[in-house]
Amino acid sequence: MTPRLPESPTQRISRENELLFFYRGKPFKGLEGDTIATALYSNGVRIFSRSMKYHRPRGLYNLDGYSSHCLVTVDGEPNVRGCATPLRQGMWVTPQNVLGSPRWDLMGLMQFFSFAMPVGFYYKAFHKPSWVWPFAQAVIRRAAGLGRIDPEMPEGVYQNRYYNCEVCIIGGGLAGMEAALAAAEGGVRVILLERRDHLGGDLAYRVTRSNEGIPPYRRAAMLAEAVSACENVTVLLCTSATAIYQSNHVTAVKRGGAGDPYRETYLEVRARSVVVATGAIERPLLFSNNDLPGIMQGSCAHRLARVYGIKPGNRMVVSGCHDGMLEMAADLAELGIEIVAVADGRSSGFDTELISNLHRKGIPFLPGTMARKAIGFKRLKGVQLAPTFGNGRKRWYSCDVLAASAGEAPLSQLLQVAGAKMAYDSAAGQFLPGEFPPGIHAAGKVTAARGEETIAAQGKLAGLMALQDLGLGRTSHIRQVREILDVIEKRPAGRHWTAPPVGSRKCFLCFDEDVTTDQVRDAIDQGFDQSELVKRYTAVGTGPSQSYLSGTNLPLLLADQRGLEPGAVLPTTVRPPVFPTSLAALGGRRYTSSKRTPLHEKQAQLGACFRLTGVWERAGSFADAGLSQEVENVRKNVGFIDVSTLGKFRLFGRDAVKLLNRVYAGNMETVTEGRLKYAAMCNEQGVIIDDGVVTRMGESDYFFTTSSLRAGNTLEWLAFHSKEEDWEAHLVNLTDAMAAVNLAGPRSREVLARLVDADCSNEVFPYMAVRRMKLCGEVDALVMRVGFVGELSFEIHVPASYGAALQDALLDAGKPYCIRPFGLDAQSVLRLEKGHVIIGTDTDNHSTLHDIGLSWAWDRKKAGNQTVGAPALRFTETQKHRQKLVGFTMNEAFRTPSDGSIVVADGTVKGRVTSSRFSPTLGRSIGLALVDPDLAVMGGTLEFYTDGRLNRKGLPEIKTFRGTIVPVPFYDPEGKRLRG
Amino acid sequence: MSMKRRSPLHMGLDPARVITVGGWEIALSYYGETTHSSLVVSDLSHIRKWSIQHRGLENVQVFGLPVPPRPRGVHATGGMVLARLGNSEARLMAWEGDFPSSAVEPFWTDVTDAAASLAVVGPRCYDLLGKLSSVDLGADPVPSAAMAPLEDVTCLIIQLRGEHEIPGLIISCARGYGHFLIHAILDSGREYGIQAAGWERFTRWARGMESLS
Repeated sequence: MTPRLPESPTQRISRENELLFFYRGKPFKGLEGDTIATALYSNGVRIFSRSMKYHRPRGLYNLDGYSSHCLVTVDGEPNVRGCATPLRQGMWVTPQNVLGSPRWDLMGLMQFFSFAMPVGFYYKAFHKPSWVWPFAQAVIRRAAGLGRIDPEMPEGVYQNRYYNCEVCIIGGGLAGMEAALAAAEGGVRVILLERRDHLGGDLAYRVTRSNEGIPPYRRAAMLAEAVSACENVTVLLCTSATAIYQSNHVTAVKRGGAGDPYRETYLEVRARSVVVATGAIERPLLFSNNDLPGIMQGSCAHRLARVYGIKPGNRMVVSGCHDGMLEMAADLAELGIEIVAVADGRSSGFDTELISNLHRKGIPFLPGTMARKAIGFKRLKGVQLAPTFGNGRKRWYSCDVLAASAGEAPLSQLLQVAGAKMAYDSAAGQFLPGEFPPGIHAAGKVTAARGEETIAAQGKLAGLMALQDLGLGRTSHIRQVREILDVIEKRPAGRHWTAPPVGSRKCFLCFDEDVTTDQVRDAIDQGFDQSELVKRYTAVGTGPSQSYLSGTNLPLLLADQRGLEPGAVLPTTVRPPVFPTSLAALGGRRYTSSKRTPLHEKQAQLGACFRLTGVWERAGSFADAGLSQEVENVRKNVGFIDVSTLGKFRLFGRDAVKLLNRVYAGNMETVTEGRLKYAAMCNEQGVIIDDGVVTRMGESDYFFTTSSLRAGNTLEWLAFHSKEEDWEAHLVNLTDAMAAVNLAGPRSREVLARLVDADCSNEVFPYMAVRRMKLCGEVDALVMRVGFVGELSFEIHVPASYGAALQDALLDAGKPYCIRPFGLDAQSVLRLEKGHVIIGTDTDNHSTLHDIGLSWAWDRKKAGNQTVGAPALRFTETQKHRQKLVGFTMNEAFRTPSDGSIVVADGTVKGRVTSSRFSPTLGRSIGLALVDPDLAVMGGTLEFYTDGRLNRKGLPEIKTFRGTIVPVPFYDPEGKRLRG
Repeated sequence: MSMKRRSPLHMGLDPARVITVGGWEIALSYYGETTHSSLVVSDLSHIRKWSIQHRGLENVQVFGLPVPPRPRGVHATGGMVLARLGNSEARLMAWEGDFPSSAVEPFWTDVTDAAASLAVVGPRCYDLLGKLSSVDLGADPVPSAAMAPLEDVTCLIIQLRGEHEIPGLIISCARGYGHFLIHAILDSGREYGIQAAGWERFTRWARGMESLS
């Protein structure tokens, strides 16, 4: 590590805390506060990467993550922006896009063949003869791209975070801090987002005293202190805003530091007003070999020295177009760096005080001059300076660093995605955003403001305007600030450079994609004369730095080449995210939000294999038993299934029965206490959408169940279908409040009798009855005599907190009767044997009650209510072409068509299998199918097409099977077991 | 056999002291529980909860407390929170005092077992909430209630201030989502040093919120 510059108050490194890291497998040392790039730079590394296409060497260019020059792989993660990523102890850094090392890259030979790879060459070359292209494509694809994804990369922690505030300020520089302080005075919640790890922006490292005599860095520190002291201001550092969406919805990414428990956090900020104070970026100067290592932005050189204490080089030439470059040159000279010459592309508009400062230090100042050419191979050796306009004297300077800038360009990307329109401002020489959406304000350099006092006043004004959006701003305050802005001296910006006077094969407009100014000219010659067209043809601005570096130069170059005024060609459209966001951060940390029944853990202890059914995790089967054993045990002994997922509701109020009659097809007036009534629910088309049972618990007080999948929609469904009525009916969702178990099998009555203190005989507790009972003498239970599986069954409902205890009690009481749990798979077979349909499985979006043989569940005569679906049921009742649900057995006993297999006859599709299973009870495969009416003939044959195994080509073999239509139920058609 | 009631929330810690009330085993404190942690979470699944639905809620008194006049309004005492959820629905949560085992009025429904409930207490409770929900409680007065999604699970969130003006949130969701709720809270709160706290800690904090409305 080379010695750093003497300590100064602007530095943000800790000299006491050295950090060990590894680069290309070798140990290096950096300091706490360094970025990866500055640590490498201080260790003498000058070439960080190679360009994507021509593999030209690339060094440090920017320190805010806006360039692709310093993309590296860190601990297996590719494309990390080394210039903006804090150094951490033990980091393993490797260069990317090199074959060898960044210094000796074998792929570097590509740059000597750049003439053979013009822009869009892959559209034209290697296509004839046609067989060449697949090989060429493979080679090009292998060579292209940046970084390699390491599948072994350890998973990082990413999360989402939501914020709500009244004012969101983006940018923690002078304007942003002033805006925050002004807004905070209104007592509202303010959030300030700053991309760097400290507030202050450019002020934080500048030392040149202003008129007031306070050095900028000190002013920044004082303001930062004031902001931090505001209780209603939340400052989020290391946070880059990525977009502003409608209704002032700001998104951002916060990078985690060494002590943070996350790598990245994706933020969503909902604000009522937004102030954008993102500042400006230096746009690249276009000249021959402008990508050589050693050429960097002026602010990069300045921060390198002032923030990190690193000398950018020994001999520096400066070629700029704004006052910041003049200030930087004088300041670096103060730090002992030899400034060979300062060229300024402007011929007027300078800060004369800064020029005097240069003269006092003996630094040659060349107005109206700019860099035309750089020489060197792997690093900068010298620069040619020449007049900006016309052909004047050219001068060569030997140097190892060139700070180059074509002026400042506003970081207006966020405003653009928010809907602001861009227009060229000839006075400022920049494309500036205008026509902001309501509630969005801008301040500072993003509006091309110059001078500390102007920027500060603009910030304050924006903060006050934000308060005004909230109805809190005082007009008098706003007027005062406007008056201050009016009296601040407005110096002309000077004539601006717009396009390079000469072309060159090595004059790069886009560093990411290796697009040169010559190639843009070629694109124009081929008819691509607008920014958007050139972008798509040449890929300019599509790399990691997007439009940050090339976004202003491209339209200016296009206008110049086409002989138009600057601004006649507009920049390309900006789309979010305006700052790169990892997909992992967008995904954030997600939690499994499925529901579990009160018996879940107990079922797991019994070996349950769970699967997601709707929102619920349900036991499909139990590991210690096969499907057949589960089925047989229910048929011969007793089993139980967790049915806590059933929808359970209390409906009460004077008009409760009216509401029930509205949504159920049957007549709910006939529901009595102690009895259950099967109820089917249809939609407006008469299509059955749900079923369950209803019982009356008291005067105008009902309890009903729905299917598991439909429970979540019931509240809305009932509310929707009573919204026009002035009914007094209240619905309480008790789905989660009660655990429920269906105890089924010929021995189930004996098991229940051991648990309750009531008579469970058929005479006292018949089929479709419901009773309140005490379970184990202490727990209130609601027991229903219903069954889905075709056996004597009892549905036991208890408060959910007793769910686990209920299972224990059942297992204990049922032990002498060989009780065992069964899952959904067994239930599916059992109910199919009984011919019970599952709504949504054995029905579709066309199946009415008539189609599935449930016409009896519709009471056409009930009066006084407009039953949902009743008109459609009347209409479809006599339709002859409707598909019917039929039962079938397979002609080959052990063949089972898969669910959904099509039914064919005479070469046309005539229906589909809705469910089919092998029945252990019947010893053959059975099923239900929805078929056309002409096929729905008892004893008729059905032909099924079903997918078989995959053949050698990986395609499924189509097989045909035959079945015969038989009466349903398949099992216990008289219902003796169910009702016995 | 004695039937035990189970909470859907599992703190992943062994309780140091336990009492059994009405079949519930309630952890009074946990091993390692400290008194000065900045964020704690307590299981409230066992506290009594009623859904009160009535057309004229304005005229309804609940154990002496009037129903708040507007939806999202909350009345709280040291042992009871009454939140108005809509025009005709309120939710009562009660933990101190003698309450009848059955519904007091026909328009009350006992929903104790319908919800998984917990309290997150501490200055960082809003930071934790911000990691799971976009709901803006900061714009509402304290106490107040909101129905809002945590991730994608709808929850009832009641914000309160208890002992020493320390803020706290009572969060309830459908019981089936209990495992999600506690996992999300503990995992998200790790950044803020969240700790499981027993019933004693919660009641001490809650007594400090005498008569908030």
